[in-house]
Formats: sequence, structure tokens, C-alpha cells
Amino acid sequence: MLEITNLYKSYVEAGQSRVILNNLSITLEQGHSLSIQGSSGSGKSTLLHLIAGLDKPDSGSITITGNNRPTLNIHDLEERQADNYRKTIIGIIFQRFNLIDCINVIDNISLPAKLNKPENKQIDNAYISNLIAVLGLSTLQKKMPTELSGGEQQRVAIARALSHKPAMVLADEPTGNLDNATSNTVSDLLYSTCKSLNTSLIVVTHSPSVANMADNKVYLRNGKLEVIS
Amino acid sequence: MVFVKLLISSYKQAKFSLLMLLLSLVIATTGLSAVLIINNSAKQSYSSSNEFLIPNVSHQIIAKSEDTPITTQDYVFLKRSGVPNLVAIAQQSSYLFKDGQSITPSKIEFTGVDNVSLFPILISLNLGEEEENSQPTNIGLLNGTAIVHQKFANLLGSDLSELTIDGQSNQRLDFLSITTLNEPTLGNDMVMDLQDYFKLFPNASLSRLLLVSKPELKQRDLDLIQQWLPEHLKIESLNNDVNNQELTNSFHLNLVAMALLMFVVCLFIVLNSANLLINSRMGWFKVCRQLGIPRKTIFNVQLIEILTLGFVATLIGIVVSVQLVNFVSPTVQATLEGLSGKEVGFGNTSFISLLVQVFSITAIGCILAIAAPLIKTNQQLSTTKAYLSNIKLGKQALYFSCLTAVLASICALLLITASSLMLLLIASAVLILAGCSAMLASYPLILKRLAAIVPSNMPLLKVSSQQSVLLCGKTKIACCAFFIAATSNIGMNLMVDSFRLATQSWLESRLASDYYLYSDEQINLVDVENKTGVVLTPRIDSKIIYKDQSIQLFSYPTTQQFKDAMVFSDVDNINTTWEKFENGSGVMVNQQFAYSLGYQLGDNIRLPHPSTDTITNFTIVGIIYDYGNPFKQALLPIGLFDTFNGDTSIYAVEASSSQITKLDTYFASIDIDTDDYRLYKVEDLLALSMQTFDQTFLITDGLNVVTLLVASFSLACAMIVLMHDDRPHNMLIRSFGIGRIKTQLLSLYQYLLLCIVGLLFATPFGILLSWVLIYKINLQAFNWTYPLIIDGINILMIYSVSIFVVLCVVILPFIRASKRPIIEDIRWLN
Amino acid sequence: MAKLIPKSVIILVVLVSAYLLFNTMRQNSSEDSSLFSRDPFIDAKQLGKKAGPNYQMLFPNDHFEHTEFDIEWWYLTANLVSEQNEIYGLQWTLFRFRNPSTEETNSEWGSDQLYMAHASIHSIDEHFFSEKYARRKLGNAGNNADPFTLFIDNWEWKNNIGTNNLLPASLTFDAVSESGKKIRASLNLSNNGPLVKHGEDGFSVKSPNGKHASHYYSAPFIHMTGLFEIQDKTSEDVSSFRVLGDAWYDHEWTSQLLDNDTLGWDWMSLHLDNGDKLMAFRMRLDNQNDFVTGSYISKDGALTTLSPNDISLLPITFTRVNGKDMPLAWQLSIESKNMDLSIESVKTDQWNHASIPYYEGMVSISGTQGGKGFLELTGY
Repeated sequence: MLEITNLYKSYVEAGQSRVILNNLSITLEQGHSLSIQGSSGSGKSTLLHLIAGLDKPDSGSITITGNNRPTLNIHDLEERQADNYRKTIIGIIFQRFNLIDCINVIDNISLPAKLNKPENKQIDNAYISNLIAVLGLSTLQKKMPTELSGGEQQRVAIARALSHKPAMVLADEPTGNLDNATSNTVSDLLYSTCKSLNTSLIVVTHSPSVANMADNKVYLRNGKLEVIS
Repeated sequence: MVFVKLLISSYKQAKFSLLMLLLSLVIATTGLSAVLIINNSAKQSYSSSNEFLIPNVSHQIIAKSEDTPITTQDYVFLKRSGVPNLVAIAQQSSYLFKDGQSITPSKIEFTGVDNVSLFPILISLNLGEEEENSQPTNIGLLNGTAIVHQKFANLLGSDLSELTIDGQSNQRLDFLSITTLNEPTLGNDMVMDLQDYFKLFPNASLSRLLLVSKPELKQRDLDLIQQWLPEHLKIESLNNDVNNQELTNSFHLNLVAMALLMFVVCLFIVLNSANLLINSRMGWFKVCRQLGIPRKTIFNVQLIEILTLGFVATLIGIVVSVQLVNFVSPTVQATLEGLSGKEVGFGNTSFISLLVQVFSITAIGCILAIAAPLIKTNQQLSTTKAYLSNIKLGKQALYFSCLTAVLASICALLLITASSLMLLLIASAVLILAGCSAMLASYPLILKRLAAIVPSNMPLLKVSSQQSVLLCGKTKIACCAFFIAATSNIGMNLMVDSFRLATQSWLESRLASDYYLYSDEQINLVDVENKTGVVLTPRIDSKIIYKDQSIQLFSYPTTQQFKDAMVFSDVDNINTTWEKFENGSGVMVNQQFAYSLGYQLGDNIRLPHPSTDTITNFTIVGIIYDYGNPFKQALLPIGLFDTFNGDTSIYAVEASSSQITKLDTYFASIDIDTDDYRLYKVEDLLALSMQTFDQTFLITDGLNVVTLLVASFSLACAMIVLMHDDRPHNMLIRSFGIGRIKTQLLSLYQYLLLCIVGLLFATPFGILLSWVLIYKINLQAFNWTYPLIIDGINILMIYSVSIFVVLCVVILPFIRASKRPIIEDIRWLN
Repeated sequence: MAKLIPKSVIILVVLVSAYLLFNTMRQNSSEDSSLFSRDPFIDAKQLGKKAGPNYQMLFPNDHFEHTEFDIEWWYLTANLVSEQNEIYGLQWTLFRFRNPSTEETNSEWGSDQLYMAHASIHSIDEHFFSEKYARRKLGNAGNNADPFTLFIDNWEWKNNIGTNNLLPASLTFDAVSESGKKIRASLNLSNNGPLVKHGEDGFSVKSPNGKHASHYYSAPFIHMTGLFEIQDKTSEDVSSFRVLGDAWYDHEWTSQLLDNDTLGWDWMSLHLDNGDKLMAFRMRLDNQNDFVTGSYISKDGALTTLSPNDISLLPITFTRVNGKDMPLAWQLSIESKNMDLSIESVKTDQWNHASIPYYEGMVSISGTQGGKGFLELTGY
């Protein structure tokens, strides 16, 4: 479970302090999805980056608790711990630059799994194969990323983000570069795959249709989260 | 104006790139200025010589042979006979020593002039415009004065009594006072009156007698002079127009080639740096285009910016180059003089003219350097795919493979058929190009293979290895330059080191005695041995004419010690060889003799018998190594020289140190002064020889290092550009939870892989180049050769230097990148 | 490569030596008002042997050089006429200098003695002049005995009957004109009168305080005949013609003539129509009155020394020559001889453009006596 309490974050711009997140709080149960909407510059990506441990809040807390895992205070992690957190517990999907150009699809997908596998053990190939099949990537395994369309690339990104069985996937505008039809297809796959794997999912998006697919929907305005029913 | 303001405000973020560009420009302008100053100096010396030669001195009288030099009596006789305006000159080259070391790498040219004869000639040629005001007869002041260039005077120092000729304590300059003259023709020269010259070199002879005449001597004058000439002298014209023109062209060509080479090298490093800068600005260029700022404005401002930087760099470069040229001047002078056979003076260069020259060339270079990045920018202001597809890589590999085959064939053809030095040099260049092409054809394949070798349980290393395949496609130019520099470096270093090792081993073998004695005095060998126990074995020298060429004919002892000492390049059965040699039917010749005259083992030649001068048949029984000897040489057993009154000035000495003391005493007892002989311990002789060797190749070593540094610097600049493009890749890796230092190390690994593969490619081609230099070029130029010795340590040194330089340049950006939080990259990418 | 080296040597020869010689001398000469820059000679310890009254001049010994003295010259002037009745003025001089600052060494190149020679032939339109320098020990200049010879390179005065006497002799030399013509002179000199010793038995005092003096004798009765061969600059043609006339020979040696007080001198050798000869000399000194002396030599060779009271020698007209005002017309009076002579330069520009430039040329004599002679002006 993800718990955010009184999260406060501000930036200094042109000598003036600007509040981005103003003591917001939210909870997400394991296996559930959350979509965060908001206008440009509202702080959606900032919130996601804080959850990913890529940045630190000014105050407040972000914790993850779960089965077989001690409570992790993400807001307080040192660099190494943050790296380990990203490596083992979460998967990240960006709007673009998701794939490594010099390796093919299957290598891209299995890379996080390889990075996480215990010594002298193999990666769970069956799991990965299943992921590939679910995401309709079976015929594209040997292709290079630049040979794929935008939608195909994002599907590979989804598979890659899930290949190491993370507890949570964070997606920052995953369909931002895609047309509507592809966007819906990719979003659908993202939500359903995470659901089927009991992986929590947080999607930052400006698209209402993508946001509506989530179990929980919030709108970030003036540094605070407004629940959308 | 808006764009200019944007540009200036971007400087904060682009400090590093700007600095790299400015640094590149400063290096370029420094190098260019230095070469132009040296060129100017050399040209002034040469053109001055031509300018003054024609009106005043058209002919000279010289000896027909070294054995019958011009004597003072000849000079007096010709003057008394009525040869007009005759001026005697004596010249000698020697080292000047101070505190046991030579003050310059090359010898000093001492020139003695008969100023007394010259003086009235100059007056009559109206060289003294204010002669009515000049008052005379301090001709006495001519004595005890030496004229030198100011820069050379600085080398001499204030106390001339510290200087000795060739380290001989009895040959000091303390009776001279120095007057400086900033004439470009004066290099490492000391000009003095003959009275002082003969004080320094009492046993020297006159070198030539100049006929100073305005206008030029007519044929009737020459015929008249010819009538008076003694048999052993001849008149020679100094106005050989054809030769002059050819030599002028050749000399100028050398200078222009040097300047062009420097220009190309500089252009290259500026191009890479400009690329770096433009690349760093690509982001906001795109924004500017979106804001409606025309491409023309962007390009024009970029051009003005680089020209401005070029001007600043020119100013800095000129200042630095003047200091640099002063510092390296003696060595460069020696090199130019050695390469061109001309005396090179110090010269004067006007700052304004140099500024104009350097800035003009820099401006052209800057425009050319910025053109490529701007063209690329022009393309990138629309989006293009950066990835080279396999298909494209495959096509390139095929293209370069074909090119390699063609170039290799041309190289092989040239090597087999070349009969001139120029063609062999072209073959070397083609070899390097072939290697370059082979590298470009194979680079991606090799890197792919390497990536395949990386085990799967090292996924990140594998990814980095595969990433380097992409990189090699983007850094072709830099990699080629690096390859060329590394190949040349390996080739030259192997050549020099092989020569060094061969020379050392050859000397160690040939110098078989305990000591070596140099003396022109008559020495009774039997008496020496009886009284001191020291065995002296003389080397009897003579010069003969064989096939219209002067050949050295030396004696060689046939004791076991000297037989063992001999180093053969080509020999059959060693016992038979010595047998034939000892019985007087065999002769040993050096490589120079054999190769230039086309002889092999077993060939018969007819030489004058050293005792009787009768033309005798000899069989070539051995071809020997004789490194560095410009003359052809034949050796005959010392027994054949018994009754021959040949010159002996070198003796091999078998003696213990106590016997040597007895020898000194013996010489003193027969009135042979310590100044009349020199005794060298073999170890000292060896050390002296190797020291001379190292000094000779100092400039080569220097140039090698410089080219490698420049190429490594360029490669590093190219890498920094690529690092920029790599940010998304690195960001992604970081997002997988890989630590920042590890991410940057992986990045560094992929770049160094390029460097190492380049070096690995350069190695076999460098060895090939070395082979060409030793077995083809050296043979063609000098008619001798030596074994190629491949020293792994040497090659590893070159690897180390290259990688070190690359690391030095890229380490800062890497450290900066590693310190950057991932969130910054994410924001930058978004 | 052998061809290349001399080219740079040429530069060194031409430029460097020019610098060495001319600049060094200009540094010493520009402000100096004295005739010779005398640094080597100023130090009294370095002065050569002094001329003195007790010296006995003996011939032929004293025809030869006196190396212990600082300066010496063998000086011939002649007024000649050609077959075509053209007048020629001839001067041939061999100088010797001793330079104590130069070390005498064993080497033939190391000599403290230097020879200088001038050869000058004036016609009305033309001037041929050449200068030579030589080191004494080298062997291309000096004097020999058996027979008596004075030589420098191929210029030679040689007794032509094989003795050590000065005369009879042959003299050969050459010179060039500014236009590039060459003249070769082959002359015979015969003596029509005795040698004369100036002053007191050859000890000639030249200043009021006696500080300046020399040993000085002349042969004023020389008859000269010979051949001039002139070669044009461009053509192979040589024009030759015979000349004859009267010549005057001086031999003088001293260590006391040249010092910082010496401004210069004016000297005349005059052949009077009545057969007598006259030598007049005016020494110009710094901070002292000019000192005029002379010798009147009758046609039988009897010499009368003229003291300053006996002879008046005054410049009458100054003419601008080569940027200097030169006294080219003189008035000479000897009261005891009822002699009042006007002496005038035959040709205005008779400069010798030598390393030591001076005026030397033909004069004509009018007044109570007619005649011809030579005028020398130094130190202007």
C-alpha cells in the first residue's frame, strides 16, 4: 500500500518560491490503479517523481508497505536506497525515450528482470513470455525499437516495466505521444495487465479517457488533490 | 538582436563547450603561428641568400678534392697573379660545449672571413653610403670579435670563457667578444676574421675563395682566372639557375607542406569542438526556429561568433607561439637544416603581418569548421533518425571493404614497383588509408562480435557494448584521425626503437676493444706494446674511386676477437668467409656499397690493392651492417695494408686501466700532448653514441607525441558531443535503479571501447608501416636497413598515452554528468 | 649541398662584414674631429718607435719598411702627358700601419702590421681609383730585397736592374673607374737626380712644439714613361697609349704624426719649370697655429729646409667638393727666393673615395714661376 501524507513541495523560480504540492495526502491499496489529472504545470509529474524516489519533498511522507516487505519511507531514502527501490519495487514508463535503441524488443523487456534476478538463477522466462503474449508483442521480439510504431514502443515499455514483477508501476503520460485510438488500446492494456498481476498503477495523464480507466481518479489543483468520482 | 541576446545568455550553460572551442582555436592558432614564424624565418634566410648572391658573388674557387685543400699559399699566389676581389673563407662545424653538454642540438657553423681583403671590396661596391663620414683604421677592432644573431647570443651567455669547442679545454672562445646582428641568415653561426678563426682551429684549412664582383664576372675574366689556377683548384659558378630554382621550389614546397599539414590538423580539432558547441545548442535552436527566428540569422550569428572567438584565439595564439618558437627554435632549426640542407637563420617577423596571415587562415578554417556542424544543424532542425539500420551498416561495410581492397592493391603495387622515394612515401600514405578504410569496414562488425562475447549475466555491459556499435557510426571522422595518428605513432616508434636497438646491439658487438684511441700523431705500435703492454690495432683508412664514386677502403683485423665482433647482414659459411678474407681473396662490403651498386654475396669486384694500387679481383664474402654511414665502404684484411702509408687516426686498444695510465705516460714521454689524442673507454663511447642517437630523434619523438595528443584530443571532443546524445539512454538506465557512477562508467566504457578497438586496428598497420619505413624507404634513401624489432611494451605505451589523453579530456564532463541528479535529465528530456 | 653553403656564406660575407666594418667604424667616427680615430695609439705605452734627430738615414736599407714605427708610406705622384697631349695625374701609394691591439701570432693570419695601397689616375674627364688591404705576414704584400720590390697583390714596384736601390724601377698596377672601365698602368721610372732628405738629415718636424715629426726623404727627380691600357666595361676592346712625365716619390715613417691634436694636413709636391722642386706642407693642429714647412730643392739636388718664417702658404679659394669646402687654390711665397706662386687644382673633383677619403690631384703653378705638381688635402 502506498500512503502519502501531508506532502509539501515547492520550487524557487526567478528568486520566488512557488508551491507545487501543498500538503496533499492520498492512499492507494496494492493492486489498485490511480489516475492523476491536472492542467499543465500543476505538479502531476512532480508528484510522480516524488513517488518514484527521483526527487525529495520539502516535507511530508511517502511510504510503501506490503506483504513480505518492511515499510519503505520513500521520502527519506538515500541515493543508493532510492536506486534499489527503483530497481526492485517499481517500474517506470515515460512519455518517450523508454527503450534502449541498440537492443531488440526481447532484450529491452527482459533487461530489468536480468538486473533483478538472484545470482545463479535464471529469469522467469515463462512470465516474460506471458507478458509478451498479453501485450501482443510476440511477432516483434527480434525487432529493434526504431522499427516499431509509437504504440508498439509503449507496449514494449509496459512489458519492460513489468518484467521484474514490481509492486507498483508509475506511468508519466504514457500515451502522450499517441493518437486517440492507439492511446486507448495502450491504456487498456496497461490497466488490465497491471490488474491481472496485482500490480499497483499510478498514471499521470491529461487525457480524461485514460484517467477514467483507473480505479481511483484525482485532479491536482493548486497543490491539492481533488477526488473525481 | 534577439537571437544575439539569447546566445549571450546561453553562455552560462555552455561554458564547457565554449571553452573547448576556444581552446581548440588557441591550439590551432598557436600551431599555425609557430609554423608561419618558422616558415618566414627559413624563407628570409633563403631569399636573402638569393637576393644578395646574384649581384656580388657569382663564382668561387674550391678544391677539386678534399685531399688537396686550398692553402694559404694558393690564396696568396692567386692574389699576386692578379685575380681581383678574392676573399678567403674558412668554415667548420663543431659543437659548443658548456658544462659538459652541447648548447645546441646541431653543430655551430664557424666562419672565418678575410675581412682585410673584403673591406676595400665592399667600399668599391658602394655598400658604405656615408663613407665620406666614416673614419678609419680601427680595422684592429675586427680582431677578437665574433658576429652572432641576438637569439644565438642568448644561448651563448655572457661568459664565453665557459664555452669550449667539442668539449676540448684548449679550444676556448674567451678571446672573443660578441657583437649581435639580427640578420635572418644568421642561425647558429659565428662569423669572425680569419685571424681569430685560425686561433680557434689552428689546423684548419681554407674552404673556398669567393670572387666578389659587380657586375658578374665575364667569361674572359673567368678564362683569365682559370689560367692562373693551380691544378688542384677549380672555379665554380654559384648562379646555377636550374638547380637554384629546383631547390627553391623543393624548399618552399617543404615549408608549404608543413603549413598545410598544420592547417588540416587544426581545422580538424576546431571542427570537432564546433560540433560540440552546436550540439549543445540544438535544443534552443529548435525553440528559436519555432519562435520564427530565421535559419539565416542563426547561421550568421554562429559564424560571427566563431570568427570573433577566432580573432581572440589568434591574438593569444601568436603570443604563445612566439614563446614556443623561441623555446623550440634550436631544435627546429637543426631539423630544417637537416631536412633541407640549408642553413636556417632566426629571422624577423612582423606582428601585424603575422596577425593578418594567421587570422585570415583561421577565418577560412573557422568557416570550414563550422560549415559541417551547421549543415547537420540545418538537417536536424527537422527531425531525423539517428540509428543506422543494419542494412545501412552492411552497405557501408561493403563499400569500405572494396575501398580497402583497392587501396591495399595500390599500396602493394607501389611497394613492389617503386623506384623512387616519393613513390614509397605515397605507398606509406596509401597503406595508412587502406588501414583506415579497413577499420571503417570492420569497426561495427568487431564491436558487434565483442558485444556478443559479453556474457548474458552482465546485461549492462552487453548493452554498453552494443551501444558502442551505434557510436562508431557517429564518430567516423574522429576515429579515422585517431587511427591515422596511432598507426603513424606505432609505425614511427617501432622504426626508431628498432633502429635504436639495432644500433645499440651493433655497436656493442663491433666495439670489441677495451678502449679506442683517436690521434693523428705517428705512433710506433711495437714500441708502445713493449713499453706499456698495450696492444694498439690501427684502422688504416683510405679513399678510392670506384665506378666514379668515392669509396672508403678500410683495414679490418682478423684476430678472433674482431671476427666475433663483426655483424653481418648477409653471409654464407662463416669459416669460409673468414678464410677467404684472411687470404686476401675476399672483401667485405657494407650494405650501402652492396645495395647501391647492386652487388650480392659471391660477386667479384675489382679494387685497387691498398699497398700496390694494382687493380685486383676480390670476391664479396660478406655484407655487413654499417648504420648511419653515408659512404660506401669496403673492408680488407689489415695484412694487405702493411706497406701502405695510409691514414691512421683510430686505434682499437686492448689494455687494462693500469696499462692505460702507462700509455698516457708513454705519450707524454714522446711529446704527444694530451690535446693531441683522445682515449675513450668503450662504455663511454657507447653512451656517447646512444646519446647522439637520442638527440637526433628528439624532434621525431616530439612530433609523434604531438600528433597523438591532437588526435586523442579530437576524439575526446567527438566523444563529448556523443555524451550529449546519450543522455536519454543514460536516463533510462538510471531509471532502472542503476547508480549514477555505475551508469557513467558504463558510458565511459563504451567510448573507451572505440578508442581501444581503434588502437588494436592501428597496431598491425603500424607494424606494416614500420616494415615499409625500414625495409623499403630506409633502403631506398640510404641503401642500408636493419631488423624490425616489435616491442610490445612500446606499443602498450602508445595505448596508455592515447587512453590517458582521452580520459583527461572526457573526465570532467563525465564527472559533471555523474553528479547530475536523474530528475534533471528527465526534466531536460521532457 | 656544397653549393648551398657558400650562398649563406655570401650573405655573411657581404652583410655581416659590412655591418662589422662599417658600423663599428661609424660608431667611432661620427663625432670625432681628428683625422684618425686613434684609440689603439693613444696609450703612450703602445706607441711605436719615435722619429728622432739622431737617426742616420742610409740607403738602400731605408728604402725598406720600418715595422717598429706606427705608420709608413711609399708615395708616388706623377704629372703625365699622353701621346694625344692629354694630361694625366697619377698617384700610387703603399701604406703600412702597425696596430698594437692586434696580437702578433705564429699564424700567417695573425699580424700586427697591415698594408693599404691606393692607385689613382685622373684624366680631365675620368678618374680611375682602386684600394687594397693586406696582412703583412700572409705574403701578398710587403717589400722584398734582391731586387728591391714593393708589392701588394699584383701591384708591384720593382727595381728593374736587380739591385736593392729604389730606382730604376718598373711599376705595374690597375684601377677601375666609376663607369666600370679598367685601366692597367705599366710604367718605367728612372732617376734624374739625387734622393733628398727633408728637415735635418731626414728628421722632419711638423709642429711648433716638435711633438709631430717623421723620418722623410724624397726622390723628386723621377722621369716616368709607360703605357696605359684602358678596357671598356662592356666591350672586349682595349685602347692603349703611351704617357710620360715627371714623378715625385716620398718615403716617410713616423709614430708621431697622428694623434688627437692632428686635424689634417695640406701637402704639395711641385715641379717648377726651371727644374727646381718644391715641397710645401701645412700641418693643421687642434688648439695650435697651423705649422707650415717646406723643402726647396734646386735642380742639382741641394735642399733648403723652409721654416715657418721662410714660407707662406695660404689657401685663397675654397670650392665645394663632395659637400666640403676645399682649398683648391693657394698662394705660396718664399721671400728669400723672390717666389710668389699661385697654385691651383687642375680638376675640381680629385677625391680619392677610399676607406680614408682624401683629396689628391694635379695642380698647375703660375706666378713668378710656372710648373705643375700635386696637391694633397687631408682631414676635411
